[in-house]
Amino acid sequence: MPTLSRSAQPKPRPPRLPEPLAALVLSCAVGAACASVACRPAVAVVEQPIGFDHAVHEAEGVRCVRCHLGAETQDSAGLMRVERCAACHRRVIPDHPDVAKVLQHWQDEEPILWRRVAWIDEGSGVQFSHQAHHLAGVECTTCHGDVASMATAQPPATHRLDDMDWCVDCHRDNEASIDCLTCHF
Amino acid sequence: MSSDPREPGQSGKASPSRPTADTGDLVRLERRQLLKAGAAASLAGSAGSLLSGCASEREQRVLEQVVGSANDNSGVTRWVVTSCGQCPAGCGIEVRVVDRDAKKIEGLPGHPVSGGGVCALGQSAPQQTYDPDRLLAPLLRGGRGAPQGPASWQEALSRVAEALRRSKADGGLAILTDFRDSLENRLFSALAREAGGRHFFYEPVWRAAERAAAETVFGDAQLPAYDLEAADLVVSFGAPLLDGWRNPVWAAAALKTRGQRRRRPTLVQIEPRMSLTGANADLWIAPRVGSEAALARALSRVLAPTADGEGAAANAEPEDPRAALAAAAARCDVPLERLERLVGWVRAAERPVFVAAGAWVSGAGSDPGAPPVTVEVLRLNQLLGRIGRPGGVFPTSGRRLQLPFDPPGPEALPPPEPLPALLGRLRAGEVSTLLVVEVDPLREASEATELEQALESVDHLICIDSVLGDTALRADVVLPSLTALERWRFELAEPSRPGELLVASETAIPPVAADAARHPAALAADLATGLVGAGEEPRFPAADAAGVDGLFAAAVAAAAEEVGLRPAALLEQGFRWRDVASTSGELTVAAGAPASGPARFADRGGLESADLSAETLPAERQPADGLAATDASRYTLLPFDTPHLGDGRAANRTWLQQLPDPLTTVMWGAWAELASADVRRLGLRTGQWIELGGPAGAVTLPVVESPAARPGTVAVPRGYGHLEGGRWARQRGVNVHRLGALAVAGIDRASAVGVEVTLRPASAPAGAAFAQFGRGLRHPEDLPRRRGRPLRQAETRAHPGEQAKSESERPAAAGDADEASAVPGGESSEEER
Amino acid sequence: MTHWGMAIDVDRCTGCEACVVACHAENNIAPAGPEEAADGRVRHWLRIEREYVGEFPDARVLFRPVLCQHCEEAPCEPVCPTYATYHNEEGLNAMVYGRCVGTRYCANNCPYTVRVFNWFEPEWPQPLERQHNPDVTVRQSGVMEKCTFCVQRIQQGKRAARAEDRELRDGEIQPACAQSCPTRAIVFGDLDDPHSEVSQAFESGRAEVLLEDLGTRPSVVYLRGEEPR
Repeated sequence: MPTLSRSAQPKPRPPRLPEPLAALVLSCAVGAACASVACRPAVAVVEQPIGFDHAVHEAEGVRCVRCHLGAETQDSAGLMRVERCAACHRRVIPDHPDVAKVLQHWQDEEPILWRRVAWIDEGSGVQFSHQAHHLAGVECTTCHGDVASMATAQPPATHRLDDMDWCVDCHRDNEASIDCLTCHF
Repeated sequence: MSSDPREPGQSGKASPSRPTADTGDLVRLERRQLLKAGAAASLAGSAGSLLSGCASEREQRVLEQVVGSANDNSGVTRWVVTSCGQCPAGCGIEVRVVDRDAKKIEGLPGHPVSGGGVCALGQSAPQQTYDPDRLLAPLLRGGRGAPQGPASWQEALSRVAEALRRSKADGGLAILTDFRDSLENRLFSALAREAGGRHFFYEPVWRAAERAAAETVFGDAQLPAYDLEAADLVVSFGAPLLDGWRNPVWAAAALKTRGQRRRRPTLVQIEPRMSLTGANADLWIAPRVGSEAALARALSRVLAPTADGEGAAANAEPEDPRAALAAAAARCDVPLERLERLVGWVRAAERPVFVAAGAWVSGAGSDPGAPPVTVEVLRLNQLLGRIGRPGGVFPTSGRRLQLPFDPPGPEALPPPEPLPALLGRLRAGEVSTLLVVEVDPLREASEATELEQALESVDHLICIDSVLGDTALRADVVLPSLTALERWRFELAEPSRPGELLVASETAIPPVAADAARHPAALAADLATGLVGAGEEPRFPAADAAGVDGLFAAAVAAAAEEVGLRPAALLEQGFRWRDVASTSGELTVAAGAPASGPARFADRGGLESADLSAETLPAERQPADGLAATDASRYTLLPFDTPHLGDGRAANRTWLQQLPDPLTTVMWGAWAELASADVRRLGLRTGQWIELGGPAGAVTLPVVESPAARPGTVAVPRGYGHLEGGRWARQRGVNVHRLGALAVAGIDRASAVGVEVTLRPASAPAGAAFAQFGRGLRHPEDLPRRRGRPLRQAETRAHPGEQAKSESERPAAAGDADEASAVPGGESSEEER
Repeated sequence: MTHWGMAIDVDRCTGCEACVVACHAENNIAPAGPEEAADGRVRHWLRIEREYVGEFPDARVLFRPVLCQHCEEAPCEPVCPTYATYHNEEGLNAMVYGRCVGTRYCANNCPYTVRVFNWFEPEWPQPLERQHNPDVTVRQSGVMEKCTFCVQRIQQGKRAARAEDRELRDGEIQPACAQSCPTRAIVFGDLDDPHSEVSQAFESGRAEVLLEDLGTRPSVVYLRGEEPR
């Protein structure tokens, strides 16, 4: 049997800075403030190259996974190809100015440069899985906020997605594993 | 607890649904999307400026990632079933594709040949595609002596078209491709016909030797297949079954696994340098270099009387078998007991098979005029009735790729000719334009030196390749080709298991850059189109609108129809397998087959059995071939292909370069393998540099002591010493062909094996580092003594027999502990802290 | 409960090192150039130990793949000052990069020398990065790393089973090395399941562990000798 002496309860809070050596120095006094919070741009408003209204789609019964195909079945939620936009919009309000732009992209086979709204910093060493959270019954809104009511999707106002406190609190409350290897590998 | 190669569905992948490869339209669409992606990348900058000025570099990178993969299912994994293509073996693979990128290669479970396994070379395919030094634009030489410079496709193609038109007038076009029987090579045949030229192919020496033997014995110069799975005894005369050869994945599974209904075959390896195959053999016999044919002949004589006399047995004079064996043992300088054991095993075996290959063993040695070992060994199979029987040899006569555009008949395209024929034409000045497709004969061919001289007479040298090889470096025009993952393939795999493996697979990923590189088949078509004169009837098959993709589709459709599959279904599985046993029906070994056959080492308590020691020759009879009675500084050179880098085409991949050679643990460079006895005698040690002098030049290499090397030989790997070929391949190690090593060992001149080289200490070349895994820092003498015994103290060890015995008496784990510290791997990383 | 374990059949291992490349491809292990390699700093999580026994003409060779043994009494764990390496409930010797401050005590204390250190910032000349496995963190300089038993594949396998609302099947989860092996020399599975292939291998009588005297109780065993029919 495995030795379980100190497996379940990680003791100290791990330093959250990417550079271990920097972490050693900084953790003494300065704290994590500058490096991970202050320098983060205030992404108050994310603008997209083409207007996309999540609220309208939701109201029409288009669920999140219709476009974010991997959200329930894969690690990455993903974003579908422009062909799939066109599959509907060839017939549905093709004359709407934003839709026309989308169709133009489809015809030109030119990627739409959607801007990412939510991500976890790659330096954090977190491997997030949408599928795992879907299987655990976590709603999209829990992390992403009420995107369905937004015109243009914005990051959640209440928390940062790479805030480990926020993650762990939720894991604890729901008796999900808080073993480091659940997310960090 | 074990079973044979994995069944379908046993794959470890956890992807819930695995979409199959998107084919056709989608792939083409993505290709064009990529064209636009260039524009996208430039936009990334402006998008980034929307961020506040404080945006970290990392966030900028994330943004670029997102922009780069916009419009895709970003982050969503697809597994694409395709074929490997890194060598002609035709293994089935699955490629993990995320967005447009190939992430990982895994074996295709249930594949008839590779059975779910995949080798190191095959897995390195993404590093071929994402090679930072890959050619992604044509290169053009301004004129004689001018440097090569990047050019547009239009410029490059018009230059080639011009050269082809001129050579069409004088009939001086020669095309040199690899030896695969593939759709694209057939198109190059068609291009040669269109231009009034000839098509040649390059093959390594050992393959030429095998084909020549098949022609002598079976009357058809096609490689025979070997039924290793059903054999109970495999006797290999230098065939590097596990090192490379036809298909190491198949051979490993056949030789090292056992199923519920089959025993693991016993493996006997006969070769002067211990290869990976020899290291895995149940019995390793190291005859004097060049005496393998004599050994095979002796075996024939001894075994013939007991065989159901077929063919050559009639000529054998009745003879005392023991005397014949003793003579052979003396002649080949191997322990008689070992030959007797081999004969006993063959006699006891129900389904023995003999395999021959290898460049340096092909020689008749000191028997001028006698057949080479490859012929002797095929005859041995014949003699023992092992042709066309389960566990035996299967000739593959008449096997050729069927293509709708090239139906058999008088109009069929002529098969290409081997490289020596090209050399003849080059020497006669009959070649004005030479088109070299994805081979690098100036680096890897045994005829490299002769070819280099002969190339002087060529007006235009044009190369198609994805890396800048030694040949391409000399070329007037270099056209970049797509890599294996970016290409469809339609070809017959090299024979391994008896049967026919047709590879028909789609691209795994779209090209990394739009229109930067092209499929060689498409290039053949492009070039042929430009050749058609006014009023001429084009004979080239792709001259119509559908192009080569259409030819591929038609070929797949025809191949699928033959077996009643839909074309899409054939592409989804990536191959078509036809079992040769459909005629005999007896290939499968019946359940509960009698467990007779030779006793294996392992049957007698594992390989450590002490009887090995009894075979040790008395000291005064210790061999010293090459040294014997001659100059003690002369050594017989044994060039060989390493299991990972092989002929060196994959030399610019870090995964392979940093992979320790299995037998010497050397990384990142070539080496000279010397016997422990010679190393002691010469006062050398591993890591010291020596200069080898050969007929055509000298090279400097680090010494590696090998306890398994035959004294009097020096083994040097091929696949190193590229003039160019990328940052990791360039000038790494030395090209053994520069010694003139194989330059004289071509199959027609087989008796010239065993080039002798001289050896003297040298200083390390500037900037050269000798890297051996587990060896620690570069200057071990500067450090405190390390734990463990260095290899060169091996002579102070107990006698091999005693050693083995004492090992088996000790608790196994304690033995392991000791041994682990004695091998280089065991010491690993001790100093790195 | 689950306890992951591995059995490696050294009689099947040919030393081809397909597993080593599979490991590099799966785990984003930074390549070590010739200089680094010459300094003994090549980062193989999995190595094939080669051992010669005897000398020509009686030379024989043994191959043994060696990777992190995921010891139950792991010498690396108690010496880590930041708890970056610890044992988890599934028997994995975990390595949390974010916590590692690079003391290298763990590597020093590992009797199997399977831990490797990132002395320099890893470099992948463009576009080699495109091959990176998105499921595995790219380590930075100053961080220790080692075999994880492909924990990302374990997690994926568990999710796949959960998505289909079923138990994990034996053999469903394979680390990259086991998947690539042409001879299936590597068997991976749950030691707490007495019917799993790996459990059977542990009990087969052919199993031995490395450096048993040290009492590390590895989760990896080596099978030796003739396979039972």
